[in-house]
Amino acid sequence: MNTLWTYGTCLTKYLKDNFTFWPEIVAKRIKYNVVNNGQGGCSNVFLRNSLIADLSKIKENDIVVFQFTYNLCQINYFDYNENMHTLKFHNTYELFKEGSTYYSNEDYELWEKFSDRFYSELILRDYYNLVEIFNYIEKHLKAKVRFFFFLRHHKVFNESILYRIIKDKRVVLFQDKSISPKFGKNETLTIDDRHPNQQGHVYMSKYILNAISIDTKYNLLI
Amino acid sequence: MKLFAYGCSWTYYLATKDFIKFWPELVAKELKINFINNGYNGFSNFESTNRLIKDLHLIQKNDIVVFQFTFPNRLKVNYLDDDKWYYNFKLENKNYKKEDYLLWLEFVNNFNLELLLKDFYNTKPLFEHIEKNIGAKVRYWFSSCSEILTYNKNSDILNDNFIIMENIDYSIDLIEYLEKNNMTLSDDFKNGVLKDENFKDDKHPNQNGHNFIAKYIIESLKT
Repeated sequence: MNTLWTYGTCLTKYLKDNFTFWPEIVAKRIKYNVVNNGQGGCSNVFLRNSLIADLSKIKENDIVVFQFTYNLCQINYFDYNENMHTLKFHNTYELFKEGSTYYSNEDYELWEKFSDRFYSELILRDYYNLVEIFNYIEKHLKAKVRFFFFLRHHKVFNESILYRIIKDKRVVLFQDKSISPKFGKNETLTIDDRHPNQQGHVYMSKYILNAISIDTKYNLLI
Repeated sequence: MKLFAYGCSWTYYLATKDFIKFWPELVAKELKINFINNGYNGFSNFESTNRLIKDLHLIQKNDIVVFQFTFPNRLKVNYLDDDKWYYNFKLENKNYKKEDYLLWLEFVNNFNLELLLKDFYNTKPLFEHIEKNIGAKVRYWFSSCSEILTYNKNSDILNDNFIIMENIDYSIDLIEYLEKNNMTLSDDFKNGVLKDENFKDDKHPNQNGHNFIAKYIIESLKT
């Protein structure tokens, strides 16, 4: 049996939620094993490194689905002993201060200002940081790759950058051809304004299954 | 058996006016093996890493990969599309304002250590994959650690977008980090041997500089 390899943040795996997340739903539907490498709160670089660590295990006809997060989410950094620490940049200075005493408020403000101004560019950079690996997996490992994003909906995404991503046929398109699932304030789909509930995961799975079915031997009609 | 080399202009400089044998050629000659020099002037660590990924299927057991990290604050990100390099965003691009450029500079100068480490940890899993799963040997080193980009207030920002100031260390933390992890080839780099005119020509190693670099790389490959 082939394997579905999934990577992502809290949208893909979140230990506190007792839902069946989209990787399990999708894998069951296509009768694949699933290895869910999601981890709540992690960065795109962290996810990319998890994917690289799995390269030797990914086999022909396996499927990889990669969920990007946004850059502002956090910085992972490493101390001299290579223990990873996380600075979380969400909404408050308090969270930042809890993360570390090493950085000042000015550091935080600069990071936030930079991440906000170059929001689209940084996401595109993360995408291009993965695209060669996606190509390698498809071309040399003969596995299929699909990806999508978890974006901040109140942010306006740069149109020219969005175009560069959408022209990659591997991207999962959700409602309104969005590269990120839109939950908004829809209480039937979310537990808050960002995270899907069980119905939200079913909703996401439909679009992911549809993207997987394109140009494959599977005929997964939603 | 083959040597794959990656890096910026310290690894391959297309526009050099003098005929120089760069360190990849010198190392390969000493080891009596073929080599592929994937260095390119102006490349960021991001670009070099992507070149390495493109070569993954070519690298075989017992091959050698040597990766040169450049300074992390290149003001651009390039991407590969149909084997041609395109700019993702360059801050001298007309789409960006002077304020954007200044914000970028302030950011990269403030977070130099973090950005370099991020570049390193972005590439390190590939090194581990190459050594563990392919069976090739990997070595890496850092150049230009004493250089830092800074804004030249007297220049026209669109025409003269940056200058490189020397003799400004990233930070003592970075030097300590590199030393603790044996990430430099030699203290000579830190002590500025390549700042010596005998080793350097217009911010780049001359032939003596490349001989010097090659010597340490060959030495490190013996371990």
